[in-house]
Amino acid sequence: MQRQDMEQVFQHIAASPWTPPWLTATRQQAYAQFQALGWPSRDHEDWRYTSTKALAQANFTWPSVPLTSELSADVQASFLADAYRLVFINGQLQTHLSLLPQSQGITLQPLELDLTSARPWLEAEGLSGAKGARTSLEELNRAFFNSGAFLRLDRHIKLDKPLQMLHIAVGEPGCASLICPRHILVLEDGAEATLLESYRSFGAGPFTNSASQVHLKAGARLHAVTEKVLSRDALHVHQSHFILERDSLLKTFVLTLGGQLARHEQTMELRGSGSHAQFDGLYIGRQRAHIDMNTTVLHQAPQTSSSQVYKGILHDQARAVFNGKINIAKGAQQTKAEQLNKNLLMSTDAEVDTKPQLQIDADDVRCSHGATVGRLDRNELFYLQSRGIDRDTGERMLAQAFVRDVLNRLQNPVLEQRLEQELAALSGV
Amino acid sequence: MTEANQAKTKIPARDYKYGFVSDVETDDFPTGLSEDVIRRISLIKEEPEFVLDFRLKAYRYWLTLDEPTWAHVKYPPIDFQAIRYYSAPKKKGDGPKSLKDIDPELLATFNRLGIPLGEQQRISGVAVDAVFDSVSVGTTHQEELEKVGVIFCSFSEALQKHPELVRKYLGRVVPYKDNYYAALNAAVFTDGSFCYIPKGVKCPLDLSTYFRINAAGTGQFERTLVIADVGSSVSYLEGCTAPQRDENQLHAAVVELIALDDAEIKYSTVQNWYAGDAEGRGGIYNFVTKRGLCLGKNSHISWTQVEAGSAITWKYPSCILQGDGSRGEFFSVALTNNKMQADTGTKMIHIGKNTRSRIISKGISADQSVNSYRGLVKIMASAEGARNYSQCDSLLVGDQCSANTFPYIEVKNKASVVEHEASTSKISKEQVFYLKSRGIDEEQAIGLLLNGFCKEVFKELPLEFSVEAVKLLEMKLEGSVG
Repeated sequence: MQRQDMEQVFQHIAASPWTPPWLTATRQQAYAQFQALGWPSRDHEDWRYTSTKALAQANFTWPSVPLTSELSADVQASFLADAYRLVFINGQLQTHLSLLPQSQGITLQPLELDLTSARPWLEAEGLSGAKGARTSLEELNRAFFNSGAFLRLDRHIKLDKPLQMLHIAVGEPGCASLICPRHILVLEDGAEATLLESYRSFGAGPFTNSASQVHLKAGARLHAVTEKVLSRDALHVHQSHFILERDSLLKTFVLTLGGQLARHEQTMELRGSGSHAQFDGLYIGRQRAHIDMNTTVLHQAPQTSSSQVYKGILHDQARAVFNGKINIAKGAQQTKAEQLNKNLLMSTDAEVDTKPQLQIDADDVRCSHGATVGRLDRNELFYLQSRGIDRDTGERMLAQAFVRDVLNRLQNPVLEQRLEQELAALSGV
Repeated sequence: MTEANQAKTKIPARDYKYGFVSDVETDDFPTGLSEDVIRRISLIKEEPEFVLDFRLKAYRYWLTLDEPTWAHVKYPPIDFQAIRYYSAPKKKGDGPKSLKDIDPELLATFNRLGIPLGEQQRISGVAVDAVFDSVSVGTTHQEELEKVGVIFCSFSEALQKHPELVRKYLGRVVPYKDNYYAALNAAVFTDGSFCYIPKGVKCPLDLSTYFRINAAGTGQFERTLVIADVGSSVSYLEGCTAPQRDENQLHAAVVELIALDDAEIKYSTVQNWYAGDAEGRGGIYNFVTKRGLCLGKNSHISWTQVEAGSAITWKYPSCILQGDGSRGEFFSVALTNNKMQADTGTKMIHIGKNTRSRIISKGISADQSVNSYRGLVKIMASAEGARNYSQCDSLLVGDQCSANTFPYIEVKNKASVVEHEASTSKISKEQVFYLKSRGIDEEQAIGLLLNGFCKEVFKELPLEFSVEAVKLLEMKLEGSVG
């Protein structure tokens, strides 16, 4: 696959300080791999219901950084109060807007232009190492990453305030700026953190291809929320890989609102016994949004547990895809895994394709999954109307009830409140 | 040694009861597949021109295809040139005029299988079409059925006597382009059963086909076509066995069901092909395409299957719910043990308004087997008010087996409701303990729990089959639980 526009962006990044000599080979190799693999096609089981046509047709450019003053109101509005913060605009760190923790035992390094300080951890955390086969989007991120951060908490360190990583993407008409953030998080034994990853896009179709790697060592605990508020033309793909060691606890929540193509891939690797992962999500699509949630949970050790609830509401011609895999390896006995996907269709033209899967190679397990697709209960709506509530309000009330229980599963007041505000302001739910 | 260990070390599962070989003289084709072979099959069967056309089109299309690899099963590539595509018991003189003329060895074979074809000892209330390797050797109760207008005969006979009906419906539900094995079957099918229930007739007998593979090196490729005309109903049973051999034999059948307005077809299968030995040697590859078309309003097709045999099963009895208000059902128990692999499930395609479907699938995997459920529920934009409920439960017996669930749900209509549930677990120790505390021994307790697990499906089976299914299950799992 040879493309002029992408070639230009690659030449640009290869000649820029983003590619120090020690990184040249890695980027080139990844770029070649990406070209060999091409965009994922619908023949691939994981892409069966999602077309990458929009990506193949986009005209990629190197992101320029717009004047921040025009944006500042929007940026400020997206801040999480009383939190540490890293702000990136089109991939570039905005130091004056950011707020970094200073206490001991906490290492937080945003990716900076020459990558010198980043070299040790980029090399340590598998940038160059071959860890199985990478997908073409992972290769794309490896070739083009131009944003991101590294966070490490030493043993038993607790991050005293939530950390927000705010990514603002601003597109220009007719072209898709290629923004590839890369995050690496390491929580040493017993460390604790709360994280909010926010993606906001404005204007015509920026393309964000984000990758993150999270390593929870023994007994570490992490609450991580990803919120994506995407513009109508935005293209967004996201891959995150979590590794859970013994007795660690992970709770994630992914909120997706809009996007021409919004795909979120998560892999949870439960390596240590006693580890628990809870990963939930909510997606609301309007107009022609296409939202694709893809989760894989690998139970590799005995006595691990996972629980996931994903809910979606689809309006207009929106389409949602849910792909959930639960995989229990041989020997991972006394494992408990559950998965639920519920969808509400609010319009005749909306569509949902859901594919929950169980792959179980151990016998002493308790696994279940469920999936439903339907509309609001007409009897419930009728009841509300009979009490003098108009139809629109009634529908909204029922939709609110539908999403409330999945939000409550977070059990983190700060993040729950944040999500409720976002939902009320942006989706009317 | 504890009691549980004792149960485990006991001699594993009883031998395959139907593993004997019958010494029947046969007319065989040499192995291999070519247009020539297809022309010869067609010639022997004195088929009308359109059938040969259909076969050749299918064969040419098949040549362009690659063998599918998406199923969750592993097997060495099949050499299609090493299979014998035709093997039939030699006819005496001009062939049997009635059942009395059938080779006594054949009758004895079917007697041993518990399917008596002789006039005196026929199973009362069930009409049987017995298929031996490539041909149908006899159909019982034909006269009785003719009185009410029901046509029930072998596929070859139907081609001679009712070509217009066959022509109208052949390939209507499973076109030859459907998939790799359906194309192969369309090219080389040798026999099968044909059934037509006329308007308003409630078929007085249960109809049944019994498939037996006997000859070595042959594949069995048969085609079953069941047509239920307006307002009619029929219950159809199917059973299968094969001798015990070290080689793998291919069974690639096609079953087409068509239900017109208000018609009802109930299709039940107890599949007990030879599954190979404990090391996974031999056994049948059961690659079958079964599909029902609810063409008419308020029609109803129901599939019930007990899958207990075959080295590899690859089978998805499906319903296309085209007529408004039509109903599709799928009830399945799939049992795998030793090194068996099963990838089975169903497809429910909702096209008509207010169509309903229900899927109840129970998978039991033991020893080192792999048991997968794969299903599709598709609600098209036109299927206003469609409703689906699916339940897939898996039971694991032993720590070397696998159970997988791969459901696909595609919904394009908001005024529809789709629900899917699945669970995987093992036999609960508490339940076994409780039963034991009431004086029931461990083996019986497990038998009871298994029966309970499969109850929803077994109760859908016709009486004779349901007794057989319970026995089959107990026999297969003997020694592997505990």
